[in-house]
Amino acid sequence: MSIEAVTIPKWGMTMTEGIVSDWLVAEGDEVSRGQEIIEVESTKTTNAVESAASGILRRIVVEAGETAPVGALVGVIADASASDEDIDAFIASFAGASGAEEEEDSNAASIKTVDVGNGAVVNVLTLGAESDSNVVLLHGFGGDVSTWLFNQDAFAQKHRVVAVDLPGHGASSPTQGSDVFPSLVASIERALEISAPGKLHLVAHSFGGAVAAAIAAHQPERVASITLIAPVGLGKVINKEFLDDFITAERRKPLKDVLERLLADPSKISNDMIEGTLRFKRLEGVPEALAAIRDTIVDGDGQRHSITETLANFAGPVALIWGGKDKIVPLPDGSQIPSNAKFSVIEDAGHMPQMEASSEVNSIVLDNISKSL
Amino acid sequence: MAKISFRQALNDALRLEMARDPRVIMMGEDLTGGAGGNGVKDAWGGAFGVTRGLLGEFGPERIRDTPISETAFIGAAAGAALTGMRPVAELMFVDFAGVCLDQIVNQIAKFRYMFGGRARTPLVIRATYGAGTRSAAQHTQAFYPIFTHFPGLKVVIPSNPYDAKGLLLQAMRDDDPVIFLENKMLYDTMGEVPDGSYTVPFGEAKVVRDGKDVMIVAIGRMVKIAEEAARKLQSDGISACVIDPRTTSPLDEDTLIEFAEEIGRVVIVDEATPRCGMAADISAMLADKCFDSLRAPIKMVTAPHTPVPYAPNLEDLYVPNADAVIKAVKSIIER
Amino acid sequence: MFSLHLPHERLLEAYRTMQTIRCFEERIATEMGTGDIPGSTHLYAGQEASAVGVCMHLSDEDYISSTHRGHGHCIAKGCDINAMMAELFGRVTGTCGGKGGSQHIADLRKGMLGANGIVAGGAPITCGAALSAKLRKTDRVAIAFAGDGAMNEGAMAESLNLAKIWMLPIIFVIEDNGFGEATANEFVSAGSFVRRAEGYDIPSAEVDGTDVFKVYTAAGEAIERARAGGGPSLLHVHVPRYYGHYSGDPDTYRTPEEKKIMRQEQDCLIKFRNKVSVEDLVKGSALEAIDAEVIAAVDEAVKFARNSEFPPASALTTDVYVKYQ
Repeated sequence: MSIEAVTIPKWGMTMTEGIVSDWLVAEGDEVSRGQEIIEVESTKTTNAVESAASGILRRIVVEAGETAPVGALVGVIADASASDEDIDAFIASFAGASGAEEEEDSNAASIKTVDVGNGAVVNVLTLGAESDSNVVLLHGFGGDVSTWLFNQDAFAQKHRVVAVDLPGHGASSPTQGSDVFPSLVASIERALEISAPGKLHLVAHSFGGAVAAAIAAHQPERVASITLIAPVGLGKVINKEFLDDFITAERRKPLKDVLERLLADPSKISNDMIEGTLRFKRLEGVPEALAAIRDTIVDGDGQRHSITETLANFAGPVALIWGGKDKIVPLPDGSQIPSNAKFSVIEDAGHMPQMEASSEVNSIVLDNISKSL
Repeated sequence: MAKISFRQALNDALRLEMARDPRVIMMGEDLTGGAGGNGVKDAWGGAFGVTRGLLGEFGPERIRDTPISETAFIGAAAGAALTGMRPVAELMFVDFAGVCLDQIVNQIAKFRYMFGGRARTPLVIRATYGAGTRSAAQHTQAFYPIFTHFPGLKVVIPSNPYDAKGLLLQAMRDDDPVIFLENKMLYDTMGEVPDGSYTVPFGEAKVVRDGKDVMIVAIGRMVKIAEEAARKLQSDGISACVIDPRTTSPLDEDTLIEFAEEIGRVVIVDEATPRCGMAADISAMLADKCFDSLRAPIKMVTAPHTPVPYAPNLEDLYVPNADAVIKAVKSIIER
Repeated sequence: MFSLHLPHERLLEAYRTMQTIRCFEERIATEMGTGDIPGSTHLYAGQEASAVGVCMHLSDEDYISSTHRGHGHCIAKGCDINAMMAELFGRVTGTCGGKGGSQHIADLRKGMLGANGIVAGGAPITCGAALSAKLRKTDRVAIAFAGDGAMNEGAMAESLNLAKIWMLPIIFVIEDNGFGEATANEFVSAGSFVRRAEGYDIPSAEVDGTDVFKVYTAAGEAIERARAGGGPSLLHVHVPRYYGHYSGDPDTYRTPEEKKIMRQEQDCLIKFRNKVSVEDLVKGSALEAIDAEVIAAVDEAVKFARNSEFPPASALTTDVYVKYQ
């Protein structure tokens, strides 16, 4: 008999508590793994949380409208074989709330820029216990470390996590000179040399996938696993209009239109996301830097990167995750997937399954990482 | 990125742009303080410290302390703008605009139109506004409805340090005349502001807080008041959206209409006096364009139709507060 | 005397410009009767020597501002009379696209910062142009033309003070035609303009505005001073105003006798002709040829204006801003 806790998740560095804004299922309902069962609101965002387990929602511990700290128990999932006394006992002994505080201390996130030479800096977020093995998170075009808001803490439970802002994104300075992609990769490699010594488990999204592949090609002995979410570089087709429109959108409405194309459920684009992206894009030099990166990703003939060979030649575990409704980089067909890659499709997600189906993605990532340990 | 004050954010913007563009000059009363005297130079750095340090960096030719002659130096800013410079002039208190209103409304606002599009007047007039400092009737008004009324002027009212810097940089790069209003009570407020240059566009309202039961439109210092009200309303189960227009001319009608149509209930909070004010202006526009979506009358929370009083208890009654906003929201939430 | 040293070409130019202004203004007086010139105009006839004597020293890079009585300054500064006439007729081919009218004629390409419908409104603006010239390290100057009425506006007092304290390259040319609108100057002005200027330590002089050579000389000194960094000057130029304040003004506050004497004894064109013939500087026939050319040119201007379209309806809402965003 298994009893699973449903808890308030931790999204980002500053979240300490969340409001249960809505239960999407009722006590007694069957739930399956990956199904959205509860909506939680933090000061920054509202998101649905998927069930980590299949079973029956046996008990709701925190009702809709109530607030609870990160990590607190809000519901219990178990199968029919668990008795009500078993459920009561589980609840009584749950140590989630205090656990969150301990986590806070040992896994305290730190964010700072590191000097990568020639006056350039890369912004690096680290969390989780010190280790000689690092889960490296590489975001995609136009993103930053907040791409991993719903993932980083899950990874940090078991691993040291190092997330970076790619050059020209977030708080990282833009690349200099005309060799944009090699220069960008070099900056990240230098940052990882400083901040993530030891083994690297690369987890990358979209354009970050090309960066991950380049690192794996340069340093195969150091990279222990590769998990890519909707990466560029497996096919020719890409939604160039999205990239172009992202670069030119200067106001809220047009940018919202663009960002909505990223998700299967456009209503999940929050005001904070739009405002954050606007603030990033307004910085002097950012549109130019983004245009330069776009030009490395796509030209008149389609995608310019190809990562297939690097993945095929990689000795460690490779996993690919894709949203079934991705409008930016379409699902690859069988012939485009290297035979050594485990390929998972999340049907109801768009181009950002790490946000839209975070539990499931976290699970697949942790699973792939564990294969190499 | 750093957490800095509204005042510092403005200073940063002025410094960055003056370094970038040699055509930018500043003129106003006591921008430095101490000019012509025997004591310390740059003694004030502006009546509210906004321009401190600029004299040392850019010199007295570009940072000019003027006689108390608003008509002359605002008019001089106009003439300089017509002939290739990009002046930033300061009215120490927006209330002093009365003294130089001709130069602003009959000259600056109208050159481009009267001259058939063959002139441009790229200047910024910065001015402080707002009640709360016990400065009484002639040093506390909010004149932005007056400037908004005149075609040819742009009117900008930042509510926080991030917007203050980005909007002022935009104002200095804008080819049209901009009246840039700074609420005195906001100078010491803090916020995260990027170190480098960036601009915030005009005619682009900011969704300060998303919500679905009522839309609260707030201007300048009232944005914080609206946020406070929204937080309190949240615990009463009412979800309030707060929108900051940032510029009253141009006004982002599209965003206001979008949210009014979706939500159907509107409260506007503005510290200017009520007749012919921004609350009335926005209310009329929404009533015209969103009538069928509105589920309740549009409520306006403003100062009363009086000058600003001196006694602290009276001045505190004068400026709208969160309770007044909450009351207005609740009066329409049941309908 | 400057007149003795002005090249022949310049003498002809002076006459041509004054005559053009005279002709232009007199033609407007008659055209007003047709109803084709909307609104009101304020005619400069009689005051020509002032505008011309000053503007002969200026290039397109120098600045002037003017008053509601601005046609003369405009012409003296080199504005195209076809476009000016079209502007008065409210046509799209006008200097301001038909959107400004008589009181707002401007041509920034010629350094003409605009006629101004607000008395003394141009003085502060001209200080700004002078400041601009100084900061850009040019030796350009700015002339603020104003009338006797403007001397009692606060804007003028502030401008004089600011100009001196900032040592701006500006000359205030106060064209005193004896009347601020319908009220005599003596009735409203205390003290003297020259002494007021001197109160600000601004060098100033009284000038006979009926004699273009005297204006030229006085203006030359003031402009040289300004170009050399010597700061502002003020010229109190006495001129006759031939018409009423505005073009329909019956002007009954002046007697017929004084108006007759004005045109006989104070006419700058007659005085110029007399002087150049007495001193044998220019042939009468040359002047007559100019007279004919000017009449033809003004004729052309009126035809041009009449044949031009009014601005399209879309022009109502254009050019309020460079970009309303």
